[in-house]
Amino acid sequence: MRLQEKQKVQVGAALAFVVCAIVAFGHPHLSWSQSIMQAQFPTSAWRPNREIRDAHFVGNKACAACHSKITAKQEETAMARALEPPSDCRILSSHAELTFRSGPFTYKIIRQGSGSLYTVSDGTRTISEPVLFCFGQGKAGQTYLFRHGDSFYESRVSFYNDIQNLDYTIGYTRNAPPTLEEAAGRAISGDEARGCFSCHATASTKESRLQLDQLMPGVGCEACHGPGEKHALAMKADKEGKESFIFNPARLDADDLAQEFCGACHRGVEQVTRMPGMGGGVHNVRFQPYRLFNSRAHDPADARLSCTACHDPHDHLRREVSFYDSKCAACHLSGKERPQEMKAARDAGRTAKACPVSKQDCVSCHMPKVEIPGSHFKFSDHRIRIVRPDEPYPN
Amino acid sequence: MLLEKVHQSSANWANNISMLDGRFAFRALASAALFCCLLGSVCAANSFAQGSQGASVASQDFDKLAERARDARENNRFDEAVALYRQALAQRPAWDEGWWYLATLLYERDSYAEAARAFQEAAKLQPKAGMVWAMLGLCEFETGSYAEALKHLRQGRQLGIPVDNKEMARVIRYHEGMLLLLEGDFETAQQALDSLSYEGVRSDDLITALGFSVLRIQALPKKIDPEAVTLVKRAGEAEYLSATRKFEEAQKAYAALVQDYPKTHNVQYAYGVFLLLNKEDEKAVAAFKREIANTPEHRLARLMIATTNLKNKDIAGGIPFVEASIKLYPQDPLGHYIFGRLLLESGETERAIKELESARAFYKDEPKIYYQLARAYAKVNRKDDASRAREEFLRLNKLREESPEGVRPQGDALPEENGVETKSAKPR
Repeated sequence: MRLQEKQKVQVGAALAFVVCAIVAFGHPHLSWSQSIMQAQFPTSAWRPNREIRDAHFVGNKACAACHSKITAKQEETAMARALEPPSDCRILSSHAELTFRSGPFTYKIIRQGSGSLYTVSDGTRTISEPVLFCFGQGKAGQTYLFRHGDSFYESRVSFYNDIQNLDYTIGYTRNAPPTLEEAAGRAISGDEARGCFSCHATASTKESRLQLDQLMPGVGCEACHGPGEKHALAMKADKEGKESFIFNPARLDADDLAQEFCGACHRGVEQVTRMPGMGGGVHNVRFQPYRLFNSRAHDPADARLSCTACHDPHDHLRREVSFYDSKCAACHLSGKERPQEMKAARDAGRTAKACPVSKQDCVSCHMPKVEIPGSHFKFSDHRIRIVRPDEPYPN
Repeated sequence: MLLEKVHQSSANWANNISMLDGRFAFRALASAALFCCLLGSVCAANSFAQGSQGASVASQDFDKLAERARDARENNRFDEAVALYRQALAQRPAWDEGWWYLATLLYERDSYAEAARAFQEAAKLQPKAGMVWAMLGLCEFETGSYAEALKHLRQGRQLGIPVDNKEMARVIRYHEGMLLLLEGDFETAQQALDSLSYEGVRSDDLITALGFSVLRIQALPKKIDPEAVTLVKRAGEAEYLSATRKFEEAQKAYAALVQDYPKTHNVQYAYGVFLLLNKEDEKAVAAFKREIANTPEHRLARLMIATTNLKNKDIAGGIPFVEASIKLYPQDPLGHYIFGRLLLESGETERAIKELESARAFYKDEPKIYYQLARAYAKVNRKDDASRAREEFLRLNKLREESPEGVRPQGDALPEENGVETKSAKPR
């Protein structure tokens, strides 16, 4: 049975969660009824990887009942496929056997029916475990989770789209490890596992416990908008202030949105500064909110530099560089403005310098692609800057 | 010939080493260390070799002495070897290889003070050789020069221990862990000790040290109070299970510890930290509250609650705890920082700025404070201040990331907020 089919709509009396009351009551633009609603639903507290007690998820199908178009569109995005059970895994189902060899160890991921078996052998001993989940939708790569003994393990090898095969997972040393167990992967703590699922799945924890049989793989509607049960019930009952029962990240200010909300998974400054050694060096190119904050003249309060100014989370990531030119032009002059147009540009806050080199494909120079060694993928560096020839990767 | 012997000795390294006794067998160490120096990327070997080349053109007397010293050392006539190395070094004080061998011979004879002096001479001649500094640090650990020991162990690690010499790296980490305990930097000590546990190291001293780290006892394992042995060992075992990722067993061990020592200082706090790291926030907060009941002046328990509430956006729930902490410890930058963050979250930006600026006044080099200040200034449209704070964040963060020691600042710290703690206010 597919996991998504196992999703249960858990209905129960919701307890008031009043921790955000201070925020709600302090908001000058909210009506009294809205304030009450805000107090009942902790909108300001919702973050993609945070659990809220006594809040119930309804799943994308319930959202689609009213929001069919946007749900359908979002379900095709890479984020929606950030986690797949092996039965739904497009990569594993299209690769009957993946192999990799390093030192004495041979790795295989073999398709078996609707599942896949992860096998590591040193020639005399073998560890074989079924793949539990596939992390990542494969644009860059995909890493596997399996259970061995009492622990979850992160696979030491990952699939990489660029080579269409396995190689060491990013972050592991590229040497053959001393033991078969270490060759298989890394035991991960319950906390770490929760961290992985909380960003790659929706409703993955309940009362701080992983609920693998009830989670919804991938980033679904409620991963960003919060548990939807109250909202769905309020909408059906046509209650006043019903919108208040769902969280709308678009209402966050630019800084909170980038650093706290998107940054909860894509890693904002706070997360990165808590990761010893990860704030420096090319590995941090994956942490877009962190890199964005480091951009020259970055204004945290400027909505033109928030994540959603350039990316629509309900749609595919746009890969054509010209798409982003208009985003750059929201701040930067083109250099072609006539004197009478300058006032309008200034009024619109378009005061940043014009590029003397080009008026198009800005990101191709100012957000260079950077490859993390061993990742077989080039990431766009969100530290927007003037790139000097031969300059080292800026920390 | 020398390399062959060194290879042979280094093969026995792991067997001979007895790192957790506070010192370890010299023979393998000396040889393996030299082996590492010879093969390491930033090693003394090249210069040792240059020293040897220099020796080849020196007086025949020196060459004969050096040869006799080597022969005595390789044939285990240590007293004779020491005397001969001393004579040779009197003739040629710039003979780095001689200082190295003399130092390691003295180390084996437990003559740590003399060994330290010889390693210092070797270090002067080979200042880029990480192994030499690390060995000097180990000698200083034995002689009780703990501050110097920590400095030199770190220096050795920063300069580089050959990557294939994992055992030496562990020896250094273990001793650093001990010294950090003595300094009262319990979180960093625990991090070092946890990582050793995870890598399969286990000994009585390690368990004791882990117990000290979670119970925040500022001492070396050998100084354990006989009355506290059971408590400390049990705390250490619980943390060892956590470090080796046996979380369910660790949970049981911690819970049993709390049950048996419910009123003992820092037991509830240790349990709270364990629970917090395992995302049991509510239970963790309850444990911290019990710790406050046991130890009313407990600063970190209050700040842990405030930080947990901040994380969970329970601003109103967090403020009383941080306010109480600041009242008790007004000079504590961490309190002001967390208070500032809570206020920023609640929308009281101007008050938040004052608190964050207070934190900055106490702790000017902490990038996180500047990050929060940049956010706060931006929210009230103080663009120039925001820009300056952001630039300062970038500068300090870059320094921290590029410094081998900078990746984790010194001082005890909250898991969520490590990096803001200083020694200026180190109550409980």
